[in-house]
Amino acid sequence: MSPRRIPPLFGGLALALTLSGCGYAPTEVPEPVPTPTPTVAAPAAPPTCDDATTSYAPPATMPSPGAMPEGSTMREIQDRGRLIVGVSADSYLLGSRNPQSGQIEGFDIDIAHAVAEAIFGDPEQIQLRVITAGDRIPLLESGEIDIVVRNMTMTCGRWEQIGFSEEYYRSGQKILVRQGSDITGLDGLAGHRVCAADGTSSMDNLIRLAPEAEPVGARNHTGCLVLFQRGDVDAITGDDTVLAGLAAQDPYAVVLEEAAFSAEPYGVGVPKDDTDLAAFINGVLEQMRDDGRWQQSYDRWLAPYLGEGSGQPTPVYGRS
Amino acid sequence: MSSSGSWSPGAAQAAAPQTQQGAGSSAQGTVLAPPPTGEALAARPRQAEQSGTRRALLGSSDIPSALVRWQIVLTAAVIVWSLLTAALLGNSFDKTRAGAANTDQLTRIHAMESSLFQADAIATNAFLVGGLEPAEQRMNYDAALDQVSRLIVISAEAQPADRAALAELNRQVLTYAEQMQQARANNRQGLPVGAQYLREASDDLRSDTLGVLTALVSANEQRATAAFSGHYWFLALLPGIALVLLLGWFNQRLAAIFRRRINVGIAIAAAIVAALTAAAGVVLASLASSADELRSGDYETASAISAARTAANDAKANESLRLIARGSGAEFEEQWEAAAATVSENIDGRSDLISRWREYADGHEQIVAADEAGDWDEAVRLATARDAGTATAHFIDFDSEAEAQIGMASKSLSTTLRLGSWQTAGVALATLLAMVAAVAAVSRGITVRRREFG
Repeated sequence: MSPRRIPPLFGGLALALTLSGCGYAPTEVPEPVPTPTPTVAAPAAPPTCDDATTSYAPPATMPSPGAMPEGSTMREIQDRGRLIVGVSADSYLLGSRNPQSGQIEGFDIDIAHAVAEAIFGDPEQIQLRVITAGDRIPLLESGEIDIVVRNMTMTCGRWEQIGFSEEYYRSGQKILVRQGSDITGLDGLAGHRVCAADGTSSMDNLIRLAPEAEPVGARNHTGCLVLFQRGDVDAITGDDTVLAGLAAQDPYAVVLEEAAFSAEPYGVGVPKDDTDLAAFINGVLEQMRDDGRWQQSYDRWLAPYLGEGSGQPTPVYGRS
Repeated sequence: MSSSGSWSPGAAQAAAPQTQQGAGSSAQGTVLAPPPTGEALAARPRQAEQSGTRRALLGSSDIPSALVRWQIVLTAAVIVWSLLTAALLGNSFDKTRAGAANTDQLTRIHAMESSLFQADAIATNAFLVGGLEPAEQRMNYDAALDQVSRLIVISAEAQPADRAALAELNRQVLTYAEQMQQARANNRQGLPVGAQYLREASDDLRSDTLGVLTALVSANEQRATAAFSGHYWFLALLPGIALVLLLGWFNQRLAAIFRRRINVGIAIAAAIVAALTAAAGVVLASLASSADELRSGDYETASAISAARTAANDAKANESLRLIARGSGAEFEEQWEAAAATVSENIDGRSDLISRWREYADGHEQIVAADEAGDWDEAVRLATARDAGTATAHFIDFDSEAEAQIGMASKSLSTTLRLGSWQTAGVALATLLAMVAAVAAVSRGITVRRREFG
């Protein structure tokens, strides 16, 4: 072994070993999860009929609370011990959770309590189940809830899937904008981002009546208000009752004073086959008309924002 | 060392003239050798062997020049050995120190994750109470978010590679806090839009923010676990063994020429190299062994319980969100179950945590039973009560115990890694000092031989 050949054997390895400890690669920053694009497909032409607000005549004699007729849907509810009602908890004035008391309250909720009181004699024998607009029909069809009192519009299409009580309020679709907005009506929505709750007739109307607008869906109306307050949308469209509730929560939001561009008759939703329950509820609504409870509820919740209104709608019966 | 054994100048002088004679014969070319006797014939192989040794050791040089060159070579070999061994030890030192730092960073990321979900659990539970938010819960929420902000700053200073991700995390935490503030402000005014801000803040936390935290955890896990491998103790032996063999070979050749079996200087150098090589091998082998123990011990404990604690707070938040959804919280219950499964999976075998989690889970079942029976008010009461024996009290007990165990495991892990790093640094330093001693020994051993020609 020649002395001249020895050093390189060590030198190379030493260099390789000392070349370590370089810096770390930067931690990868993931992209934010994209917000799901709302379903904004143009709605199919809605079924038409001329009896969307026609319901079932109430019983000639209303059964006494706690004494529902044997075999009736109301008896099943009475035997269970509570009425299960699908409601909204974020539609201010109609059905929303009072942050102070934790209780859900509003115009719709008063009607739900009235039905519970008519069945049990106790308005508190009730389970309020908060549901989205899109949940209303599926949950009625599955039997998970007894009735829906959630600003639900009576339409011919819905009559094919469920039943309704008589009309208990006549609403109409309007537009909510920022103070000073250049949007003055339905025609002014072109090119603007407009929010409506997914699964509602308001969204269908928006797409049909303002095709140039950019529709943005939200899970509920309050979700629209959050988008509105963040500046992600320019306007919100929905029933005047709902928009009144949103405007009441934001001093910079105003509801355009144009005439409603749709008629939205509210009815209490029931499972399609529970016609006896629908008729019973109609009896309750008439009792509310007679004893003034409907008006009291309207005056408490909606009158401060919508004015005196036209009163409780006249019922239309004749469905069998 | 100067004695160099039982050195007799005659032996070298007897060898040296042979070279000179051989050279002279070749130069003159006219001197005829007498016919070989039987004794001379028998001595030929030994002479041939000596001649081969001389050529291997000395080449064509004279002995003093060759010894000078070999002194340089052996000195260089000793220096290379020490640098090589020190580099190997230094590499392990760096890895272990970086491992300790990355483990600390990972602990901070886990703590951020747990604190964020803890803040969310507190906020959602306080929201459920209704009315004015309890001061204690507000204070705990603020403390949890302060902790997150503080850890983001410390983590950004500690690991530059995390800075971009931490900046994004900071942005999202600020957005979360802002949304929660909006929720709280609206809630105090009795406006239901507050609940929507709360839901959106919680949703964003579980989608976007959790994604950034997961990326940070993953990156730091990879960096931290690199400290548990790459301690190649056998590599530390190779240069030392090679040098000892070289010194042994040199000593053997030297002995053959100078007729002395051991050169004390060379022997001492070989002993120093062998001792330090063994020490380096032992330290690195010990480091490798303790790294394996840490990986399956404290590291596993800290990681698993951190994951369990985050999932537990996620579950508690989903419990509140379920009740806020009021009868429509099936999706939150599914998320509770998924989080609970993560908790159970990560505390498997840890009886003290299992018992605490079961107590909370039993309380949760009562809450669900009340809600499903339609008694929402009772479900809320059960979920928000904080007295001893309630679901929330059991949950706080679990959370506190988990936090304590994570702290202990993380501290032990970091301490052990740092101790190991100092051991390698000590042996590396000793190797460099040994280099000086070994070079001196080699120099002395060869110098003694050279002086015999002076």
